[in-house]
Amino acid sequence: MPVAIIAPIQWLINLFLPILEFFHDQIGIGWGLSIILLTILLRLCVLPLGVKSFKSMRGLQAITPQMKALQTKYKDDKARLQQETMKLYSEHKVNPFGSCLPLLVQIPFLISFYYMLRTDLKFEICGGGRSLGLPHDVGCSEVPNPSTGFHYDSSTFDTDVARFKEMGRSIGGFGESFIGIHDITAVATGSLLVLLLVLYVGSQMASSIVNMPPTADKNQKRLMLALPLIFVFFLIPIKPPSGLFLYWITTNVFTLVQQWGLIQVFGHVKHEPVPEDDVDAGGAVAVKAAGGGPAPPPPPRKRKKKKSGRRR
Amino acid sequence: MSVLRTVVISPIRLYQRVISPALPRSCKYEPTCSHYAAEAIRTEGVLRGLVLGAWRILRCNPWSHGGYDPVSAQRLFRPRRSSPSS
Repeated sequence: MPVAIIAPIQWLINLFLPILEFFHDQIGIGWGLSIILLTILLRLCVLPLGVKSFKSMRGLQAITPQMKALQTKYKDDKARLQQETMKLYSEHKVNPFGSCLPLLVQIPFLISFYYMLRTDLKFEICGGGRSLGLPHDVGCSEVPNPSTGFHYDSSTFDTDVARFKEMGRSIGGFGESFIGIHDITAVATGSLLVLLLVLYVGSQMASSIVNMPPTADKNQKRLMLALPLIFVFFLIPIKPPSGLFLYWITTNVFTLVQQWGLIQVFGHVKHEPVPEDDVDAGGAVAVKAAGGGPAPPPPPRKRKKKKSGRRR
Repeated sequence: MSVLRTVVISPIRLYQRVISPALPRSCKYEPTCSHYAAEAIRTEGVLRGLVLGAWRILRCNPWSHGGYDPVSAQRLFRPRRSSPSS
């Protein structure tokens, strides 16, 4: 891995690890639950992004009837349709496209969790902060507890473990299990892997359905739904630790809850009425007058205006 | 164009060919963030280009307005006096 990528990831890991340790040591909850709590904490940090995206998406949804009306009106004149659509967007101060940042911001988190579960967090859970030389597919549940004096050696691993057993040490039990997952630091296999994949794909699909931008066409919607399935094929060879699924499923569930909560707070989309006779300039004015209630588009804020000078 | 620039741009091109078509358009700028980054690396060099690209992605957030924003309009770096044509 190039330094340019690994350095920020290590920086994130160094940030996450003390938080997990705090949850585990000070509050006294298990490692699995600590991961879930950290995930929720991270999602709360990026919540403003979600709220803003939700609002702008709703602003766009609110004018879909007008867009449909334009589409039927100018169905033979593509250029005119484009013009009128752009006019509608600028009149309602909506940008039809989402932004790159909310999509990208999750990727470093994901990579950090992946590496953290393989390295630093694993050292923390069963090595007392020290690397035991464990390969990625050997989790904490196979390590003698306490692990003092133990170092992994693939050729003598079985006899080593037997020796430590004779000394009266138990195997595993560092708190690496969580509900049905016997070891969050180990690679999931068999029925557990299937269960985790089903939960991941299901939650991912559900969260992409609720976050589907209204600009997506049918094909894109299908592709977006199929994406987690395709992703699974790439996922299996990189052998993600089970704990990664905890992060993933939690973050997807958070998306669902967030969307539900935002709808509760801001109410459902009220489609703005389309005057039957004219959807042109007159219609837009009428809509502006009618849209004075709590319905979107969100009123432009003063802060936004100030910033528009610097950014474009 | 130098070999290094081509190498750095290639993952962006891969993204544009393979990943991006599957997603709905999720950039509010024109050119999009990936085109902007590739162009910035091509014209400004790897380091400047990566900084410009990262800064563009950060600007492509729900609070910004989006719109037309070519690399030539950037104000982060002073334009090079004698730009080596590639």
